Amino acid sequence: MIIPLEHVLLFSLILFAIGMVGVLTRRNAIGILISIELLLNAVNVNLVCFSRVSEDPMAGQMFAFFVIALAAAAAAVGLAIVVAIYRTRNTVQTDEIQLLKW
Amino acid sequence: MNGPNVKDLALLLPELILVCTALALILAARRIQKTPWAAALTVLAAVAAALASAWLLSGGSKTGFGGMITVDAYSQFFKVLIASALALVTLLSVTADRPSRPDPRTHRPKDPQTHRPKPRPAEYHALLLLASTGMMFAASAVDLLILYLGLELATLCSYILVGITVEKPTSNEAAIKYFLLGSFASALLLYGIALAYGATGATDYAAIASAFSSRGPGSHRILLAAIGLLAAGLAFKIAAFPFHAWAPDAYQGASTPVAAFLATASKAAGLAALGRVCLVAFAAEARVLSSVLAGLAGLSIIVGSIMALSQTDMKRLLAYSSIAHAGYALLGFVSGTPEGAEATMTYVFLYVFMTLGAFGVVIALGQRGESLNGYQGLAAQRPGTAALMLLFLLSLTGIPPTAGFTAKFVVILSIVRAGHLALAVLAVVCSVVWAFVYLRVAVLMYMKEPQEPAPSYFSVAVYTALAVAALVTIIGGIFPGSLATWVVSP
Repeated sequence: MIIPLEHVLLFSLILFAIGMVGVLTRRNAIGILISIELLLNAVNVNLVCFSRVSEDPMAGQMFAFFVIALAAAAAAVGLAIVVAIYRTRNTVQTDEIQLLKW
Repeated sequence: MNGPNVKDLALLLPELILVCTALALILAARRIQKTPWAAALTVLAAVAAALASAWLLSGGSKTGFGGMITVDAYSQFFKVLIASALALVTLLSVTADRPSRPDPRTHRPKDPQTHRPKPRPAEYHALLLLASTGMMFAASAVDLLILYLGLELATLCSYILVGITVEKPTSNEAAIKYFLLGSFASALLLYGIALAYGATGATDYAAIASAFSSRGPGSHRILLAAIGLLAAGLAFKIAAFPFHAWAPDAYQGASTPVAAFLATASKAAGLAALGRVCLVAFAAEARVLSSVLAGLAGLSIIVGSIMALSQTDMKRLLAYSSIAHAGYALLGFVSGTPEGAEATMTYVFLYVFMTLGAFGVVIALGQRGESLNGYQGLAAQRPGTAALMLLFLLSLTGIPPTAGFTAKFVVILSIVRAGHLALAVLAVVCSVVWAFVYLRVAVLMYMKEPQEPAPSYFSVAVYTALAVAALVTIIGGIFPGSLATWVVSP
């Protein structure tokens, strides 16, 4: 059975929307990090799904691999920064991290 | 499309020089304890990369790696600019990483095991080199994949550079804010890329452009969403209006040379990428793009100018200055013509040197340079330094005969030619606001009594960087035509 393109695109859009809401409403830095991963996965779903109808299917699939690899690198950097901030401030709540303003 | 070829590697000579130096520094990190060694190596690599970029151009425009990388006047111009910014930032950071004392007000050590971390010159310079490599890739990308990889390499390194002083709470905070907003913007950019790929079936610019023109403008709603998301993602990289919030925090929290690097090299790379995306890939949608860019530019100029009025921190002031300048630089792209792109290129070139000069003076003054009050009576204590700062501030304002005037003149001329008179008036009016902001510093320097002891003299490296920046700022103002030989349409 082949799932129609529209359904996959709608799924990816919903995933993206959930991630977006997470980024905007979460207060915990780790929560925001996970929401960003959701956004990236929505992109991957989109890329792979478009690659099925594209004249250049390899481009999309290859792109998705690069996105996965870079998401891992970004998560490593992000978690390192979170650890560093926990060491100096003892919190990872973004609303409590506010030394710099305006 | 032909497959990769070993000969194509020659096209990446500048990037390869930077990457190899960075890897050598990482491998030898434990042995390199002195900053001057790492700095000397980095400056050498940057100069070699700049020369290699210029040399590659002599063979004419080429593309390689299956049409993913291009070497043309546009890319090489930005590569030379990024390499020069890298060299100057490296020179400026020679004094800046003297062992920093943690701020007693905010620093509360939680763990007795954490001593003050050792300075890590090799890692710092390796990150600068790798970030510059990513920016160079973004400048020569003609495929959305390479664009994304280059920008990510640059921003991932920048996140670490902002947070590299791990013992400083402000640095940590700046890093996390920059990281969270940056990753969010990258996700938007990626979603835009995915939509563009879905609508056109390709990721390389030429194929996207031909798919566009075969469909005719405005035919596809998905493409408009793609353009919006791509513009949003790239606006973050250059800190233009709706995505500018990270810049003041990141600049204030980061060490000053890193802030200078973000304000110059990173912005140049973002503009290079944005310019090529707008003028090559989405050229068929010029009408939509031009209104999006005009909006971004106008709002960046207004928001940057208004927010700068109330700043008391020099680095935040320069951050808002960089936001407004990003708006001015975007003005060139609004017209969507090669002449407009040339105006932006001239603007970015001159902007990089005058901003590096201003940051250089901030660095030279050390802790004192970071707040506006630290400039009180500087002219009486260090007339030379004060005169240099005045030169850079006049140039940032855009007063002749400095480079800033030439830069503002060319971009405003380009939008007047494109028929956006309202935008041109706005740009000029906001220049007046900036005159007030910058001259406030000049008044503090020349008309107030000194409050603090005179700053110590600074190192030869900082003098060299300041001299280069000052030279370009003066020459760019006196001979505005001299850049035209370099500047070629993309």
